[in-house]
Amino acid sequence: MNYRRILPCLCFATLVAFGMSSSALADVILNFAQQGGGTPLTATSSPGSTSITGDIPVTISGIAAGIPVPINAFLNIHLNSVANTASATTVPPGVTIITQQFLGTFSITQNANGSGINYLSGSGNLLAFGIAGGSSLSLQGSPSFSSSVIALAAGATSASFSLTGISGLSITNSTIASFTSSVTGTFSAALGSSSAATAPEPSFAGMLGVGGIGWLLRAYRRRRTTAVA
Amino acid sequence: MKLARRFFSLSLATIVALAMSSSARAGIILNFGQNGTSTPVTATASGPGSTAIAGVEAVTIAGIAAAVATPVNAFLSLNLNSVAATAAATTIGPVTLISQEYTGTFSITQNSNGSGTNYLSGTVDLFAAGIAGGASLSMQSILNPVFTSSVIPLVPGPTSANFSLTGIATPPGLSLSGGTIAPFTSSVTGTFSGHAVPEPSSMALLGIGGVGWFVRGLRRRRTTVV
Repeated sequence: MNYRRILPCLCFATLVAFGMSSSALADVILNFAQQGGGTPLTATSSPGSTSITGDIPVTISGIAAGIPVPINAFLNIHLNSVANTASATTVPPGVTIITQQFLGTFSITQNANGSGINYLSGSGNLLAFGIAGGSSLSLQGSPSFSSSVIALAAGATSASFSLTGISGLSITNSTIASFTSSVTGTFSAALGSSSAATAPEPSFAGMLGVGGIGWLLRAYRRRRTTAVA
Repeated sequence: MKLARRFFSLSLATIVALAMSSSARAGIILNFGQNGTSTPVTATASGPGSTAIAGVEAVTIAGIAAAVATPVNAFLSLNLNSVAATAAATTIGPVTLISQEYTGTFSITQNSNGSGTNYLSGTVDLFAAGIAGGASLSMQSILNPVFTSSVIPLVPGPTSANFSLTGIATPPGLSLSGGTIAPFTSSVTGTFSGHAVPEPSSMALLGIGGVGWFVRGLRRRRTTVV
């Protein structure tokens, strides 16, 4: 009898511990890639400053929201360079990398111009870096996120954009020179307990359920056997 | 008759100019995003001072310079190894950038483990960099990658490969350990540029135009003879 009382307590404690431990894990929350093969992202420079803008059809290939993928959506991005942050630094293995800080917003939404379902939006600082003369630029940072479908929780965030198709990354007038490029991106954040991403896998939940039913049946049978006797 | 000759010369010149100008278009040849939100790319210590980055993952191709309808379900297979003595932590403004050079191969194919239709494969030399303590690592090609594809009509010319990795667990986030990038797991997206010959549809249009012009010439000749 003691054993039967201890077992449910132990199961309950395990479930609570599992729920608590997985309620705010940083996880990948969204991946997207631009549709088609154009270079719709535009960087426009004026002396000392560069703005990166675009309103681009994208395909969401992964989202922590229990929504079937792929999803057709739009990336709307508006970034402006932070004054006096452009530099060229040589790092091993003798590569010159161009860096510049950018500040602004992005949104991945159902419709163009940031309208419709807000799959993921963010604002904050991003560090842009790429190999001088190369065709790529990466943007990384820890922006603040909002979403109408992903159950976000407080915690560390990360945004990473990959831009390519640039015809020679360079600095002109103390800022990244004008270019056009393609874009893909991937984001991570802490998730709330109601998010599909932090919920136990269906197979694991199924095993717990089957085990629970088995335990109940066993208890019911024992009670019936005792009553008959 | 003079008009016909002029028309012929003009058409020929246009076709030659068009063929020359569009024979190798530089542009984006493929974009992909990983399916789902797991972290299937794994960086592991592969010896003293070295890191291997590898993974096989289902991906969605959102854009491809080929006569293939998108989105396309495919698999990314990635196998990279760090180049000795290239890891560094460099302070740039308010951030510290961790970087390391990697060489290896990738393939984006119909089936896992590089089998089935070869959408895009390549041998790459990549510069990997990310903010110290952050959750992301970006990889850009240092040298022109060598691409192969069974669906993209590639021609020689400048190429580039760019991978975005994120979801690296924080803390500690991206860091150096023992003179190399410390082990992590992450998600992945990527975008590639290169040179491709005009789409089959453009070639077909040119062909149809040429045939039409030939038939017109033949008819005129027959009418004149009669």
